[in-house]
Amino acid sequence: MAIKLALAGNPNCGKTTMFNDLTGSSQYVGNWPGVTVEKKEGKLRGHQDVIVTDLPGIYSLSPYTLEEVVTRDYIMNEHPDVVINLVDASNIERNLYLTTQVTEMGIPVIIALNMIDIVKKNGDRIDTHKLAAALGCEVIETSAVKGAGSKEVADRAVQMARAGIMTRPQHTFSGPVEDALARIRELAADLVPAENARWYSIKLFERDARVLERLRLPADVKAELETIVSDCEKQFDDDSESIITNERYQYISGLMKSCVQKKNAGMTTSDRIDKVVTNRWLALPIFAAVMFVVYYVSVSWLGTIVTDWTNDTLFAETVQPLAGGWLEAAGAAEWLTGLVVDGIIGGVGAVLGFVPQMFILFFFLSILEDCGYMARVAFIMDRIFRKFGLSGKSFIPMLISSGCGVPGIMATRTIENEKDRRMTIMTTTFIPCGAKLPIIALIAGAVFPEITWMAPATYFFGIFMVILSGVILKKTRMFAGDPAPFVMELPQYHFPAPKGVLIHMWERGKAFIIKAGTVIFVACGVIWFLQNFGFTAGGFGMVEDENMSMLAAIGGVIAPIFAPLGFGNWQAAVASVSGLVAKENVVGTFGVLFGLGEVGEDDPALLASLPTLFATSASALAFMVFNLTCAPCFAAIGAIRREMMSAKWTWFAIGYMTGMAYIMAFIINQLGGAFFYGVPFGAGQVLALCCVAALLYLLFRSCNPDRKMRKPATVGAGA
Amino acid sequence: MKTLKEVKCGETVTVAKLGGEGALKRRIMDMGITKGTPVYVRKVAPLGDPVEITIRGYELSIRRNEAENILVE
Amino acid sequence: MVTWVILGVILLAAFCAVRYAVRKAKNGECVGCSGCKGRSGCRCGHTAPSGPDGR
Repeated sequence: MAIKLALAGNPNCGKTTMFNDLTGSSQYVGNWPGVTVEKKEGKLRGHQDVIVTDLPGIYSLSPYTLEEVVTRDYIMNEHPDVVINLVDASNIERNLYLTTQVTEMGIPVIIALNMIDIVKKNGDRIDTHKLAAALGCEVIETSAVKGAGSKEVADRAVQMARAGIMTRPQHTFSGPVEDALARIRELAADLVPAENARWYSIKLFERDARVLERLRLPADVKAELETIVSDCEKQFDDDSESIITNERYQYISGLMKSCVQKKNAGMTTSDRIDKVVTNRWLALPIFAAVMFVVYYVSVSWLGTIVTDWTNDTLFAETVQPLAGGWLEAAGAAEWLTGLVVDGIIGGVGAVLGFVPQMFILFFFLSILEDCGYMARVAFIMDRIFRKFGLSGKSFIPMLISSGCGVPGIMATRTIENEKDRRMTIMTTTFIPCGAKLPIIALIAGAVFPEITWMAPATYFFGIFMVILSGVILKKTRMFAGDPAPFVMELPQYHFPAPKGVLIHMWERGKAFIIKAGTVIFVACGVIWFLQNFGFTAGGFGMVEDENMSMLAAIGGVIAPIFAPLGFGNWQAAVASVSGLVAKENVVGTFGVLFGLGEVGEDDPALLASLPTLFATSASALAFMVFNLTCAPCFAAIGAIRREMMSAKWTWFAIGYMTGMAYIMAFIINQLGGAFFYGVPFGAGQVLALCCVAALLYLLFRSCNPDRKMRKPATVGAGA
Repeated sequence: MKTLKEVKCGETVTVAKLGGEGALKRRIMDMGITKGTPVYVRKVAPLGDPVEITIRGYELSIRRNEAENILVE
Repeated sequence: MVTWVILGVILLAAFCAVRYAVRKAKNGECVGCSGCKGRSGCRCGHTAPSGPDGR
């Protein structure tokens, strides 16, 4: 019979690291049935027939959130043999709160006192024997991140399972509460299994909605129960749930005094950093400056240098001629040489040329994430976001989206409020992802070479679009509602481990290289084929003039749509559409269409020929804005569909994004052209002004009265 | 008696009573904010909201208008 | 002759690439991400710091 172990603990206590340690590559990740809560299971390494289930991170076992319910149901119904309770030793009080609840459930528990290395580093000391005695279960010190102790815990847990060792919780509540619980236990004696009696009595005392629903008590029992509980509540002048919670923490406080010795904590380095970085007045400018530097260095400065070298020197001067020469020497047909050199190497090369920029960007983003700064940013942005209808929690997916939109979309699971969640999913891809970087760099480099702040500007534009959308959407009936409550734990700052940073950087960047070698490789081949073949007077075959190709024909059908945006030609249209497969394809397609470097007078360089596609520089900007904010790539659309769990919402999201992109690009092209590039003021401009007016209206119209923030209640005299 | 919302940055107060009900009250308590617990207001975010507190040895961030349900002395 | 051989190689590579992409899409993973079977565990969606409910 397989032994089942379960890992339970607070979020951020190191559960995932330990789970990975224990199960290695045999993990299976799915969802708990019917809910969007993730379920992870794996085989315990080094043992036959032992399964480890990673339960969701929870602070408590209340009936209020999905994660908590999933965990309770699992423990009560699936009867794991042993629960390994991970306790973050550096945060021990709050972690033990969950422990007191888990030990009541009637299954054996073993405590892994994790992050013990941090405790030791701080100079604090924890008496694990006293702790074990006070809680009723064994305590083993671990440091999952250092890889120490997990194996011991798991081995001991397996031993416990085989030996049938029980866990008897040692914590008790105060007199009147224990009396009430004893009476409830008697009352419910026949209705609940004996080994879980304690758990059920406590839940019934708390009036736990799910337990009450499941037990379906007869009316007289319910009435008696109510009397018992109300009496106690009157005695304590508090509701029963709060009574129990208080008592648990009181017990734990007592425990702390006898088991834990803290060295006197002064201001840690973390605190000192925080003083500056989240300072009331400096925080936002600092954030703006940080992101500015990150994007400037990755794209405009270092990035451009590396990319220019890759495109001009590596590909155009070396690889392409080499390949071309080799193919010619081998006797390959001219069109094949064209396919390989111009199509594949040209297209894929154009994209690969930007990979160094992506790596530099990901390097910086990994540092920011690993050191704990990004979590703080959500805290900083919360107030601003709340004014615009979103919560700070919505900001985290956006931070992730600056790498890739797909995990960003998946990260919206942290938002409980369904409306907020949908709105965040819809707007998170406005933030430029790694794949959009080539588009930014290309347009900036070809059309706006003097504006070195173009790349950071697009990042901030993305944030602007998110906020804009937040305001507009929150005022519609579909999304109106109070912003979600924001209770968030802030991890300590720590110096990012260089190895960790490089690994994260590589993980994200690697995906783009593989993407280039697969998806973009095929796409460029297809584009080349469509560009060089067409139906002419002589029938189907290779065409001399690309304007006669199939690609031009297809593009020509779509192109007029983009005319008001300033790029109504088939090349730009085709490039934009190819972006649906992968955003890098926009650049890849241009690479195929125009060639990379100086191949000859007939094939002008990519950078030089690009501006010819656009009526004015404002049109080029409009093109960039459109491609950055329109519907994301298929992978992201797939993620949206999975998270929205509704085709209707997915279409709405795509429609919204593309619609906004179109309007923004339209405004930029018309008004930008008129005000900056000498385009005469005409019908287009008037229409653009109307759009601006409409947007302003949607932005500033009054909200529904019940959506206004509650006025602060004045309680007593001031501080 | 004032609420946590009115406490200034750098002050330490003790939780006296919790207002609110249901899920939010439960969550606030689950995080360790219970009667008699000392709370240290470390930081107030730009624009005054949310507030970062130190409680039971760790840092937590809550909105000012949730903090108004926490009565302190 | 050479032409067709090389073309064959390219088409084969393209075919494999498409098959790989389709397989990844079916599993709901991103192209290039080693997914949740890898040694380091699940990354592509779990870089978020959690909220109080552990999501």
